[in-house]
Amino acid sequence: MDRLARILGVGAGALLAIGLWLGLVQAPPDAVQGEVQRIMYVHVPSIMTAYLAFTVVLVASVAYLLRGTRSWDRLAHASAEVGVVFTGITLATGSIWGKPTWGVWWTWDARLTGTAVLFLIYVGYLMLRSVVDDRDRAGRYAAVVGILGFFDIIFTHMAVKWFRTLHQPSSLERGAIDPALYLPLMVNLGAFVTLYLYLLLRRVRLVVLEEAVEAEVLGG
Amino acid sequence: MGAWGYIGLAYGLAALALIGYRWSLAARLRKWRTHLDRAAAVREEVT
Amino acid sequence: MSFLKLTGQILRKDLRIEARSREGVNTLLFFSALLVFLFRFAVGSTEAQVRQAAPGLLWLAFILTGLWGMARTFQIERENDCLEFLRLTPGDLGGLYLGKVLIGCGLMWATELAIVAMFGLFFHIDVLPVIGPLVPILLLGTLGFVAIGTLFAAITAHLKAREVLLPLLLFPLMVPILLAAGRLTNLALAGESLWAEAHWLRLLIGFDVVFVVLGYLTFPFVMED
Repeated sequence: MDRLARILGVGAGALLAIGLWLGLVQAPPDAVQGEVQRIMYVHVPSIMTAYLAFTVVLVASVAYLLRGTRSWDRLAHASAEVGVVFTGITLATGSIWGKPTWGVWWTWDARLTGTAVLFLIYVGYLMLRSVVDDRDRAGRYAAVVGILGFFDIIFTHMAVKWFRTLHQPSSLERGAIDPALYLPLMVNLGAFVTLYLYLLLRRVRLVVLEEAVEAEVLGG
Repeated sequence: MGAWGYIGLAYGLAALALIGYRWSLAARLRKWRTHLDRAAAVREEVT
Repeated sequence: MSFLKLTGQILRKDLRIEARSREGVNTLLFFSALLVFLFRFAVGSTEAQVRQAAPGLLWLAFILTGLWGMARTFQIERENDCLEFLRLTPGDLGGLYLGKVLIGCGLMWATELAIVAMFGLFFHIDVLPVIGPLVPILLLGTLGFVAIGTLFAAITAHLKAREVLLPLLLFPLMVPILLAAGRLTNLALAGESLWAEAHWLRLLIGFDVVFVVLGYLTFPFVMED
């Protein structure tokens, strides 16, 4: 597992470097928004990666409740934490992108609000984990929150969309985006997903170590 | 602030968050590894 | 349908406790009265300001009161050391969940009607003519809130940090309900038909169905030891 992580880490670094060059140098500025649009190459991949991470949390949570195997719980825990990091990046870059395009750092736009809710739900998930001492119990509680949180997000997105929307249509809906911007976006998405897998493996490793330390302390 | 200022801020913050998180993971991993190593060494000495 | 037996039993038990002490209803009513009273000072003095803020504040009052109501459903079990026994109940624990949801809803609906009356009084809103469309909104919105609230209350019941953790987990998940119910309440208070924005109604119904089913399915794992 450590070797795979190392390979993924190097791969993610290389892909990020290429993605950075493609996004900042090679890609043409957007016809309407100009240079600022380059923020998209971080913003969109990070939210896609966050969604991937929380989908993994959902699957691992269901599997943990059904099977009760520790490794599913470790996967859910690790994926949630990495997902929160990527959601945080999405919020930060989105806010910075919002200032020059909408004129404000924060607005109650649909997608922005939805992402903020996403962030809050999974921060709560991590806090719940941190206050329950027993690992199996923490895993079951967190799994329930992870499952409910995922379904709630679907409703939240519907609701905030009807509530109001300022946001441009999703950058990934094909046709809405110029082919010249498409390649850099895809490379960056690949880089972020690889980075996610790398961080996920490291985080899982950390849980394994923590459990070993606990067993060591308790077992004497 | 010009367009590149915003771009720099966004990319910089993202990089900072990722590097910071990776660093915190590495630090935590190192801490528990040394803990376990030390415990193993102590156990060896006892036996 | 064996789980329904358990539902009935827990319902009878909690109703009897409530009938004897009336602690739940009394404290909820007093608390909500206090909230509405304070809200009135927060929104400014003109009638227009008050009217605009009313639907949102109404649901805020429900949710803040409900938070306390939810925490209570499992706190009474914990204080009497009954959690362990409930856990050992033979049969489908999902039935226990449904019973707690029904009790929670009953308590909330009763309190909400009182809150609506107080809103009418303090905010000068004529609530009697709009009570018809208001009732289904209260029923649907509260069911979704209680479905998640009961589950999370069971999770946090014996944690040290439960007072903070319950709202922390619960409130972010309430955004769809707050938006849908708030919007529909706005329509109702304005005297318009709810069918004008039926998609909000469908959202509430879908929310209720999904989370009652999920709660029923996951509750046994929460009670497991």
